[in-house]
Amino acid sequence: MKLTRLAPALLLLSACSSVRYDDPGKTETLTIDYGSTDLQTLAGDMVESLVSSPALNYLENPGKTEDKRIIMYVGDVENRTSEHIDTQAITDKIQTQLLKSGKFRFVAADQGQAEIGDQVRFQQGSGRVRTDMMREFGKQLGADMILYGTLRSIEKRKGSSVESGLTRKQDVYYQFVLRAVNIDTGEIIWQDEAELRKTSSQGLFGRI
Amino acid sequence: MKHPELSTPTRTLLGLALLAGIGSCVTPRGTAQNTYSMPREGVEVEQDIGSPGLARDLVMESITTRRKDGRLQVAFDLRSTRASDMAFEWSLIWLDDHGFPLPTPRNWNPAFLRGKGFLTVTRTAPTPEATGFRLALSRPDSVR
Repeated sequence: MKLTRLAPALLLLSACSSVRYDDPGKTETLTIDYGSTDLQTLAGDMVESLVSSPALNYLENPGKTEDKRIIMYVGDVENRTSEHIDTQAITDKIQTQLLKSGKFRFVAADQGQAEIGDQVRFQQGSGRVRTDMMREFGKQLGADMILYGTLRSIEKRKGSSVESGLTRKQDVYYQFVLRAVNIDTGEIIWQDEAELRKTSSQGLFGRI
Repeated sequence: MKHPELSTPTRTLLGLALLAGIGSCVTPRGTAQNTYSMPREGVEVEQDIGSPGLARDLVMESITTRRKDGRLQVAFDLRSTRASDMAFEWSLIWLDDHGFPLPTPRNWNPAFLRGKGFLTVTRTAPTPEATGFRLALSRPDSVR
């Protein structure tokens, strides 16, 4: 067979694509943009710090009985990067791991409160729920502390030049600051920061 | 050098096919992984060497453990024996009293070491049930 006939077939075969399942914990360096590994690393570092902090072991409150664990409200992480980042994914991941750790108690945030409001109004107003089983407002726990923070990035790009060996370089630095503040006093009880640096070099024919 | 049967369009097509092959069908590299287990709070470490090369390049040393606020805290150094820089990934799995892995998130942490450098890892067990841990080391094997 002449190579002229073989070439289109080769082109088709080589331009293949594939889909497969992979380990969600695997590191990801598809692009330099914020990704799953950054989410896992930043959240993991903060959980480690929160769990090991002795300042966050217990807090007295007249309303508490024997369980003196801190009741936490998870607030927002402000995105001050230039990327569109769903920062609630960070707080959700942190809350999941902290809840599993058993160190803290949590109260529902906005989404949960809206659901609770709808449900209580339904129970009390629909006439479909037994009166002895109706839930009512005014019995929720009050949070001791709020967890909130900021995600920032510093980005730098360098175009290709002879000096750089015709490679384009990009550097992104992420700083994630999280703090726990006492709602009564406004005092910051705990604060930590996690940092990440990612660099990318791109030559004429792709990433190096 | 010119092949007698290859015309210019054919050579162009073959070249494109090769480039497309390089660009689109890169399969992930299979990387061997080494694990180091510490089933109890002692300092006896079990090693499962999947990659002798990785075991030569990275040594786990200065292992210390303690209980802090009821949780196992571990610290160890990962030292590079190579003179040149190296990238690798590490992951910790927490084990209960029976050696079962606890349902805690397991993600690979990318790390970079200068030649002969070391990285100190300090981690607190996410739950009080953890009584041991397993460290897994791997060559970089990212989704890229």
